[in-house]
Formats: sequence, C-alpha cells, structure tokens
Amino acid sequence: MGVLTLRRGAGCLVPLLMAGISLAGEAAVESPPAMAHSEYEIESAMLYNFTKFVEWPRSAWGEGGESLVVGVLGDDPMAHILASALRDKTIYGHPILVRRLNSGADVRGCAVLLVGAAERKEITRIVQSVGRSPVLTIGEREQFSRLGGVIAFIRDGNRIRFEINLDAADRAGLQVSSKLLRLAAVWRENPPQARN
Amino acid sequence: MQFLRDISIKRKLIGIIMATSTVALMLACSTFLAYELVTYRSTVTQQLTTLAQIVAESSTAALAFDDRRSAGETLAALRAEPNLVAACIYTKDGRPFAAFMRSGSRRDLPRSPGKPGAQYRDGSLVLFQRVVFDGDWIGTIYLKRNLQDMNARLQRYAGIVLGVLLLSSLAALLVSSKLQRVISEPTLRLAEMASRVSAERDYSLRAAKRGNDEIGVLVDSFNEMMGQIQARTQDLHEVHGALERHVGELCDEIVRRQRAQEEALAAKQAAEESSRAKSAFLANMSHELRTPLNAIIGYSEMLREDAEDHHQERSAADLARITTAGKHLLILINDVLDLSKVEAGKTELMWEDASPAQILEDAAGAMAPLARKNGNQLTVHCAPGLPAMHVDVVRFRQSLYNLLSNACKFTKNGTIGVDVVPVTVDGKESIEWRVSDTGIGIAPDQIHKLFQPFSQVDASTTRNYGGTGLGLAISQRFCELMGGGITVASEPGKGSTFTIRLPQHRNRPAVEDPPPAHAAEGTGTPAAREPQTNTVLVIDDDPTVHDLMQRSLTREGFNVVVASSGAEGLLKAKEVRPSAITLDVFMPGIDGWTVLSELKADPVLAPIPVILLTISDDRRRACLLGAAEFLQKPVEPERLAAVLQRCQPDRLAGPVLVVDDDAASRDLSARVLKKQFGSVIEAADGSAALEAMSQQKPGLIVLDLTMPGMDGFDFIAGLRQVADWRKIPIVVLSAREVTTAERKQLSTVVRRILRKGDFPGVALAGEIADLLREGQPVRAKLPGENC
Repeated sequence: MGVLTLRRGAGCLVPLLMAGISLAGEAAVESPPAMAHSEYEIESAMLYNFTKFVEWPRSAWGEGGESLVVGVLGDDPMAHILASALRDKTIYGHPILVRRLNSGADVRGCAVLLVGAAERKEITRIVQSVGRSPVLTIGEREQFSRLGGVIAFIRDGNRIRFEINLDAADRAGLQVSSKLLRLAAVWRENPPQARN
Repeated sequence: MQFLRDISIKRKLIGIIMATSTVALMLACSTFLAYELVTYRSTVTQQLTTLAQIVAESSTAALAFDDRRSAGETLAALRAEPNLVAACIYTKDGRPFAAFMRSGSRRDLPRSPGKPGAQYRDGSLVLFQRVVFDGDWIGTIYLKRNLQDMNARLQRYAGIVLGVLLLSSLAALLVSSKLQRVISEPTLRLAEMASRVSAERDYSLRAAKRGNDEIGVLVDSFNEMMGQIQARTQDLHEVHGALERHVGELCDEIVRRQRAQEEALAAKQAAEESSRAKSAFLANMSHELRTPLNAIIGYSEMLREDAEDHHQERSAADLARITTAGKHLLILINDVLDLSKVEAGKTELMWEDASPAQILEDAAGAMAPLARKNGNQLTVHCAPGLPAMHVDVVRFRQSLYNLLSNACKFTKNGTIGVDVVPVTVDGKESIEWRVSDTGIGIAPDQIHKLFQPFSQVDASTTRNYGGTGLGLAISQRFCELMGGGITVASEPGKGSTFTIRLPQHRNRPAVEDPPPAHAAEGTGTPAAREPQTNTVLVIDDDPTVHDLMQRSLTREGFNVVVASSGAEGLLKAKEVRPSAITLDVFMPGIDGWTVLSELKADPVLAPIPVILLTISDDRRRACLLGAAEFLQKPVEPERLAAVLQRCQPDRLAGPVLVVDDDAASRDLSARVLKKQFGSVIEAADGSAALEAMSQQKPGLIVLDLTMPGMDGFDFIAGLRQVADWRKIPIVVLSAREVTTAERKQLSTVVRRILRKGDFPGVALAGEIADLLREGQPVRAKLPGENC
C-alpha cells in the first residue's frame, strides 16, 4: 500500500526560474492563476527544472548532439506552450525537441513523457508501455504517480506541488536528486517504513 | 637623557639586558599574535566560504522550484554554528528569499545583496556567495559571522603573552643582576681605586687584575698610567724644589738689582745735582768774573778819557792797555763759558726767523771799522729772494762775526768778501755764507787743528794777531747745533774761504727786510715820531752830497735842510730844530767832532740824534761823543733812510732807575746814564727799587738779575703788580748767563737783555738810547754791533 510521506520543505510551488514565465513575488504566489494558460506555463517551467535534478542512465541517449525528445501525450495546448518555453534550451547539453504523441506506443525515443489528464486505465497502459525504459514520465494528479508514473503535479489549492514515485524512478533507471526529493512528496509503492 | 648617563653601570647593565630581552620577547609575541590573527582570519574566511558553498548547494533546488520553506529550513540548520549572526538567500533579482537571524532583528540583513566575496566589517565577517545552478546564476547567499571567538582567542593570547613577558622579565632581572657583576664589579673596583687615588693622592696604589678581557686591559693601562703619574709626580717634586731654590735666587737677584737701581737712581740724582751745580757755578762764575771786569773796563775807559782830556798822554796809554787787557780777558771768559756750555750740552738755542740780508747788512756795518784797520776792503753780496733763515740769530751772528773778524785780522790791504748763496746739497736746500779773504792762508797740515779749542795755527799767532783761539771752535759748535757746519778751503799766501752752511727750512716765505721804522707798538716807547714832519739837517761841505741827500731823502718823505760847514750846521740846528742830523767829520773849519760835541753840549740840541757820515772809522769816538749812528761813506740812501727813521729824540718820562747790588757797576751805569738822560735813581736790590719807584715813577729801569734779597725776577714780578708800572721799559744788564727759559720768561716784559762787560760805560748809554729809538723787541746784544 502506498503511504504518502510529506517531506519537509514541500510547499507552495510557483515557478520563478524562467524569466519569461515568472509571476513575480509572493503576491503572485498568493493570487490564484487567472487562466489555465498560466498553469501550463508553470508546469512547463517545472518540467524543465525536473530534468536538471534527474539523472538518466548513460545508455538512455545517443551520441552527443542528438536532440532530447520531450513527448506530449493528450494535451495539445500544453505541447504548444512547452514547445515555445523550451525553445533554445538544453538539457545536459542536448537541444530539446518537443513532440506531440498520439498514443503510448510512441514513447520509445522520448526522454521525457508528459501525459495530460488521463483515465486510470490509460495511465496504467502508458506505464506498462514505457516499462523499464529510461523515460521520465510526468502526469497530472496523484493517481499518476501511484499508478507507476514517476512525477505527478498535484494541485494544492492555488499551489502546484509534485509527488515522486521513487520506485517508478528506480524502474526507469533514473536517479532523482535528493534536493528534488526534499521538495517533493515521495511515494513508495512498498515503503519499508510502513512495515515498521 | 642625562639621567640615563648618570645611573650606575650596574643599573645600566641590568637595564640593557632587560630591555633587550623584553624587546626580543615582545617582537616574538607580536609576530606570533599577528600570525595567529592572519591565520585565524583566513581560516574563518575559509570556513565561512565553505559554509556558504554548502548552503548554496543545498538551496539550488529550493530556489529553482521557489520553495521558501525548504530554503528556510536549510538556513535554520545554521543555528548550530554559534558565531553565525545572520544568513539570507536572495533571488537572482535581489529580493530576499529566505532568511535566518539569530537575534531576530532584520538589522543584520542587507536589503539587497552586495558583491560576491568575504569582507570584515564592523567586527564581523560578511560574505556574499552566488548560487550557480547548471551554469546559471539563480541567487545569492549572504552570511554574517561575528568574530567573538577570534577576539576572545586573541585576548587569551594577549594575556598569555603578557604573563610570559612578566615571567621572562623577572627571570631576566634575576639572571642579569647576577651576571652584570661579571662586568660591573671590576669596573666599579677600578672606579673606586681611581677615586681613592684622587682622594688620598697616593699614586703608588695599583688596581688588581682579574682577567684578560677589555677590563683587564683597562686595569693594565690604569696601572701603567699610575706608574707614569708616580714617576712624573716625583719629577715634579724635584723640579718644584729646584724651582723654589731658583725663585729664591731670583728674589735675591731682584733685591740686588733693586738696590743697584736705587743706587743708580741716587747716582743719577747726584749727577743731575752736580750738573745743576755746574750750571749754577757757570752762571755764578760768569757773574762773579764779569761784574769786576765791567768795573775795570768801564772805569779805565772813563779815566782814559779824563787823561786824554787833561793831555796826560802816558796815563792815557796805560789806561788804554788796562782797557784792552780787560776786554781781552772778558772775551776770553765769554769764550770759555760758551765753550764749556757747548761741551756740557747746556747750550739752549733760541730759534727765530731772520732775514739773511738784514744780518749781512748788520755784519757789514759792524765789521767795516775792523776791516779798515788793516786796510782791507769789505764787499758783501746777498743772492736776491732768499727765504728767511730759521736760526738762533745771536749764535749765528756770533759765528759769522768770528769768521769776519778772523778774516780782517789775518788779511792786510786785501779784500774780504761775504757771499750769501742758496745751495742744494744732497737734495737738501741750504744757505751758504762764504767769508773769503786774500790773507795769509792756512797750511794744509794746520787746517785740521783750526776747529780744536785753544789751538791756533801756531803759537806765535796769538802774540801777533790776538784772540783766544776759541772762536772757531765755538762757531763750529754753534753751527753744528743749528744743523749745519763750517768748512774751510785755504791756500797759504793766497787766502782762505770759510763757509757756514745751514739747512734751509722749507715753506718759509721770502722775507722783506723789516721796515726800518719798526716802532714799538704797544711797548711803550716814550715819544712817538711824526715821519711826515721829519726834517733832516745835512751838514756836509760837499755839494754833491747835499744834492744826493736831498733827492734820496725827499723821496723817503723827509724835509732836508743843508749846511755847508760846521758853523752853519750849528746855526741851522738851533734854527730848524731838526729831528735828525747827518754830519760829515772832515770839514774845513769846525770839524765834525767839534760840531758833535757842541751839539751834545747844548741841552736843547742834545736829544737830536746825530748820524756821522764819514770815511773815518773812529766809531768809538763817535759813540763816546754821543752820535746815534756811525755810517761809513759811501752810504746807500736806503740804509741812511732806515737809520734816520730809527732816530728820534731821546726823551724819557722820568729818571732812569738803576738796580744793581754791585756798587761799582751801579755807579758806573749811573754815571753814564746821568750824562745821557739827566736824572738817575739807584737801588741796591729789588725791594729798595720798588720803594724808590713808589716815591718817583722812573722812565726806564736798568736791572741786574743776580742780587741778594729780592732778585731781578722777583722785582719784575712785584713791578707787574702795579698796572701803571707795566709800561716802563726795562733793560736787563746782567753778568749772569741767561738761559733760554729765562730769556723767554723775560722777553714778554723786558726790552733788551745786555751782558755786563759787553757794554761798559758809555756804550751802555748809547745802546739804551738806541733801543729807545728803535723800539725793537727784546734780544741779547753783542758788542760791535752799531756802537
């Protein structure tokens, strides 16, 4: 059974990092997002930051110079916004390529897979198709991480937080930085603490 | 600084050691402290930087995901670091993101981040560190750390250093006070020894030597020096003893010399005394010798006249011999006295300016009779424009007359010439008086004897020619005293030339011959003359003389009345009452002598001065007969005019007072003066004379100087007390040698100083009459001048 362990430091999440999408100050943090559009922007900024705290296995990517593919499944506006947000940015030196996917079958070749709001069945199927591939899967709501996705955005009032399924990350061969973990709610499918 | 110099060596040494050790220790401690400070600072900085890096590292995610809580927790962990005062995380755009403040005050936080780096500020270490994530600057860490621990540590160190310093100083003090003795003790001992030496004056003391270091060397040097001092002191003692002996001898010597000096002084005084005595003797001697001679000559002359008058030819001849012998004796006495005065250096010169032409004229006049006696012709010549001579006129005249009389004596029927010429010898201007004759001359081997006293050319000379043989010696001495001398050139049988050369004194204007009427201004000549109304009676049988006289004398301002014979002359004299008469001696009928006697016998005509103009040379007779002047033909008109100007009637305001202690002299003077001036009063000494004067004021005083009781000088002093008596003319007639000082003293009040014997009898009267007419200033007069 999954136990939600809220690590300290987990709190309001307002993406400030990217100059173009910053909401400026605590006042902005207090105010609710006026549009869904800004949520997309925040989430795309967070996505980019996640890539920095996650380490892919060496075998995950081809030789240098190859684009790192960010696949977007089932969320057109998100794909569009992400594409513009990540333009000209790199991850570990690789240029980023945002690609819209139509089905979970296309996950191979993606380093990051962003999944829009989806049914339990669909989530499970996507997770299964990813399997043990070194893909950072990011989805909406807790159920995504609890169903085997690696990171899930969680709405907490006005704030957007995230939960990390460490077991899922292990399965994908991804190494998540402790720094990131400190900020996240960590989910373990079979937590040893629970048995104690 | 003086204090430092004055403290003892012991203290100095301790001080030096202490100071050295303290300085060294302090240097070491300071270095240590400084090093500690630097090290600690760098450590602290390093630590803080590390801490900042850790914080930055652990804040990246929080910053990336804008997680303030997480960042706050990270900073809160810094509480464990006790010295951390404050910490803050700023976002990239400078806004505080998370903060930690130990005190809870925001004061510790800057509002915005500063430049990256560590900085010590206000006793704190402040550090800014950038947070870089994946190559991007995403924020800034601020850390502020206090330095209390460092300061506490430094304080602790300072305390330790102080303690060490104290302890080590104490130890240094202990050690140095023990060790300084190594140096100070021998030094002090040496100093003590030195002061003992100087206190006890014991130069045998020696300092003990302890080692061979510098002090040992000093001790050696000291001892050596002491040895030398000891030796020297001993030497000094010996020298001192010798010196004392020497000083004693010197004192004796000084006493001896003082005694000798006193003796010499006494001898000198005695010599001076004897010299004074000698002078006094000479003066007295001359007085004592001349006074009786004066009487002898005077009375014998008078007796001779009487005898001649009574035609007692034999007696007259005998009396003439007495007179001649007396005169010779007088000359001899005068010469001897003169010579002895010169030899004794007692001759005092009386310098005055004189005209050479006047002197020459006088000399020619005086010597003419003597020249004629041997049939000699006297010619004189004086170079024109000669400046005045500065000489003792009396002595010079004496010398010149001596040469002239010698020339006359040793020449017969020859020519005697006098030439006065200026010469320059060795660049010095001089004047030469050359007296030449055509006489017997002098043999070359005799010339050198000429100027030696008491020697004449040969012994027979005295017998043949007379004279004392002293004249040339005296003349030579006088001329030498006046800066010149006499030289002689002679050829036997042809003649001799004697030359007096006297130095000419520069800057003396050429003198005119003194105006003939040199009348007594303010000297109280009894009668004033009126030259304009002067009438001269010329008695001469020669008409050419009348003519000549008339012309020349009228030119000189005289009225001339002429008479061709003696009888006519006597008549004219009574009629015209002339102020002067010139008289020829040889005239047909009544001759000049007779006319003269007649004139002088007439009381009215007697005062009229008579000038004899003649070819005769019987001056003496003329004088005896009362002629005022005796001029030999041919007479230069100028000379005659001058003589006439001088002539005036002999008139006195009162009787003649004769003051003389010697009765014979007094009587002689009184007799001749009575004949000349009528009334005479006699007094034996000064006080009697003053008394007589109070009875009756005299018109003239004839005064002897040497008298018992009140002498001549005292008399003059007494006389001058009465204002009314001061104008009475005084003639000194003394046998005494008058010194220059006395002459000066007398010159202000006395008209003339005459030497007794030189003017015996009648000559005195003529002389006095002459001086009254002349009104000439006082001077000593020699015989042979005028009458």
